[in-house]
Amino acid sequence: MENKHKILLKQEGDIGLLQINNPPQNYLERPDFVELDELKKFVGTGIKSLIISGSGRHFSAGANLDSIKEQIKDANVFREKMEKGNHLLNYLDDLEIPVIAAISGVCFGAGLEIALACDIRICEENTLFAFPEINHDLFPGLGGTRRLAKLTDKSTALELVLNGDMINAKKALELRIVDEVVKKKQTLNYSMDLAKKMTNNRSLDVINAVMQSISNSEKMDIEEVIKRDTQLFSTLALKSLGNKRT
Amino acid sequence: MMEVPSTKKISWEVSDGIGFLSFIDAPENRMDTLFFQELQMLTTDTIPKSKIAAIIISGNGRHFSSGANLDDLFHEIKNEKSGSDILLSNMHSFQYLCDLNIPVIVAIKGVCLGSALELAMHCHFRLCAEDVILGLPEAGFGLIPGLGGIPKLQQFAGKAKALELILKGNTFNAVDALKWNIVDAVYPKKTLMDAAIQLAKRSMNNYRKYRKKDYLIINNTLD
Repeated sequence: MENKHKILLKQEGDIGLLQINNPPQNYLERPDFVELDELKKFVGTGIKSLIISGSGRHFSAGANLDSIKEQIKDANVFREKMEKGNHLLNYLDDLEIPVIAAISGVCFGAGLEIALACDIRICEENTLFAFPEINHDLFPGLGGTRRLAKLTDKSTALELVLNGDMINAKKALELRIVDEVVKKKQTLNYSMDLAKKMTNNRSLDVINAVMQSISNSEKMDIEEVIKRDTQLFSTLALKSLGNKRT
Repeated sequence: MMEVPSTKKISWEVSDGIGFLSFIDAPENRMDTLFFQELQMLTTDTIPKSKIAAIIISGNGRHFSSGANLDDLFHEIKNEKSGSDILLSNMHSFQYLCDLNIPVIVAIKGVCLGSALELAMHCHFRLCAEDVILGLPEAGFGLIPGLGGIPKLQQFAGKAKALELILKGNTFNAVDALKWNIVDAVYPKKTLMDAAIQLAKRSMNNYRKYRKKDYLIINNTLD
């Protein structure tokens, strides 16, 4: 399934794969890099995890500036695209299945924004990260600063966004921007294996419940999280009892 | 020493200002309905009345605890008007310990699974023996850790690792638990209890005055 956005959606068993397919740099042609409805339909087929990767050597070098310059001529249309892009990343962020970014090569700008909207980030030892927007008098416009601040801290996020410097995999791990660093050319294999181990033999109900709880504890106070966890547990327990009876 | 009603699952003894809360249903030290009833009695009545400056939680025998008794739990959930009420009341016992203003130390050896690890994660200091087997296997039974295990693990190990460990449901050892910030220190099995007592003495009169890791350096002089 390919579309005008140069994104491939394919399925391997229970795992959904979203591949940025614009090699070699995998530039993103527009902020709304994939149609939300198409993505929703894809997720709706019952995949238990989603892995986002880039085709070839790189994850993504970010937005295609030439193409953005062209699009921005119509400011209203471009603002709409930015809004759509934000909705898209919020949708990925809120998905109730694990979303893994399998990162290799360069992961810049909008590419890094996509990676930050994932639940788990795996990268190769030679991966480079940056928010270079500042060099063009811009800033990450898809929530990247906020997500980076939540993951690291405010000062780290400000530093990376304001100086636009590149950081390597080791530094990214230290700053908790990535969760695991693997050997060269291993990121997709590692991510697939991780996704399998996490979701094989797990029902979507259980996966959704764990994802809900994790997301609750990022948004609510602990009392409310606990109340909802006990409700989620009871619902699953009753379901399991029902299954046993039949 | 004060009068304590006789219990079958948990014992409570006070010595030198330290309250020793021990699971006494070895070898498994299962957390069944009676266990949670006794824990509730301890946290609502016995402990508040005790003159203590620290608590050490441990399991008798080879293991800490293999966690909740699922049959008991299912039975209760089925018979309650709202199944989550029983869990919430169990949860309050864990939270009571977590909210205490005196150091609550857990000394884990052998197996510590499911609700047992959830309880351990509500303690302020988590010490373990080199041989521990830790895990949250709930997902393997079509369930989730329902007693605060998810937010606690997320707090200690981060979102990605929490997600991975809970969904995989596999067990892990002391080295990994230390690396992932799930336990604070690892000791040989023979010296674990001594280490817990030393830590209790070191932290009982100055709790939260120093950074957590300062209490864990054995030769650190703390006032």
